[in-house]
Amino acid sequence: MTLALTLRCLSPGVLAALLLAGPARAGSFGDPFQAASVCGQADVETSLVNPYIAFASSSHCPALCKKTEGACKALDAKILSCYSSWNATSAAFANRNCAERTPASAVRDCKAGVAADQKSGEAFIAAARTQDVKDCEGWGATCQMNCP
Amino acid sequence: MIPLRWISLGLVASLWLATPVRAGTFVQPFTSSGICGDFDVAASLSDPNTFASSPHCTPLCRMTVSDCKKLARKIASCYSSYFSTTGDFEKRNCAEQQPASAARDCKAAVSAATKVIEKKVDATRASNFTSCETWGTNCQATCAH
Repeated sequence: MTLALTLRCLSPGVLAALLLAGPARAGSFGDPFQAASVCGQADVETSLVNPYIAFASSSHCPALCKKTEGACKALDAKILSCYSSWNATSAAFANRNCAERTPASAVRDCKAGVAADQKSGEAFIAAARTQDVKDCEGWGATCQMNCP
Repeated sequence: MIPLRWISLGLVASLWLATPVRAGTFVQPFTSSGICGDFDVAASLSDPNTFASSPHCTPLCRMTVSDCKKLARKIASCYSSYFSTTGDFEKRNCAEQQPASAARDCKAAVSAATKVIEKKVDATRASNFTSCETWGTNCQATCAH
């Protein structure tokens, strides 16, 4: 399985695991936001109909393919924006935990750990965005190739 | 269990998509609004007593309510775009498939259905905001400080 496919298949679960597994998140109060999956399914392209037959019977096939590709990207951006907010929220609660529960001498390291986890989450989301845009474009290209 | 308000949104969408005037020779490219996630963010939150031991319990409860609404707003925006997009494709189907005389009525019906769904999305968002606030009220009730 390619890395891209792994990212697409596991994105919500892996993201959640990445964010929740970091030791910097451990504290005496929990992060109230339990599951990043509330934000939905980022790889929108996988939910589209078969591009080989989608608009093959339409006289406006190329335009419809293009419109679908654009909508695919737009929805994906909205979903990933939600994941990004979720990531920031999770980090904010983790930082509060650092400040509140960790001995003063360790607060700096704790927050640095949170920052690293947040950065890692953001990088993960950015990679997913890049891949998803390619997938939407791939769907559009295949769709257009099958226009009459 | 699926919340009632969620079923009703799905029901409206399925009724809309099943209407005969929507039948055309090309299919909807988007197959499931579920890609936009779980509208009811408050239901996914942990127990409201999660900050009870914190000296900053009250602001943490407020922070959660604010973030809960922020996520609900983003999810609602996705649903809104989704239904707007599917409505656009239905109108294309009207233009392409119906005789010219019927195309106008077909598009008007799609517009009306889209408005119904938009209202439903708005109502669901408002209801979810209330759920976030209720979570916050319950959270604050557990605060010792």
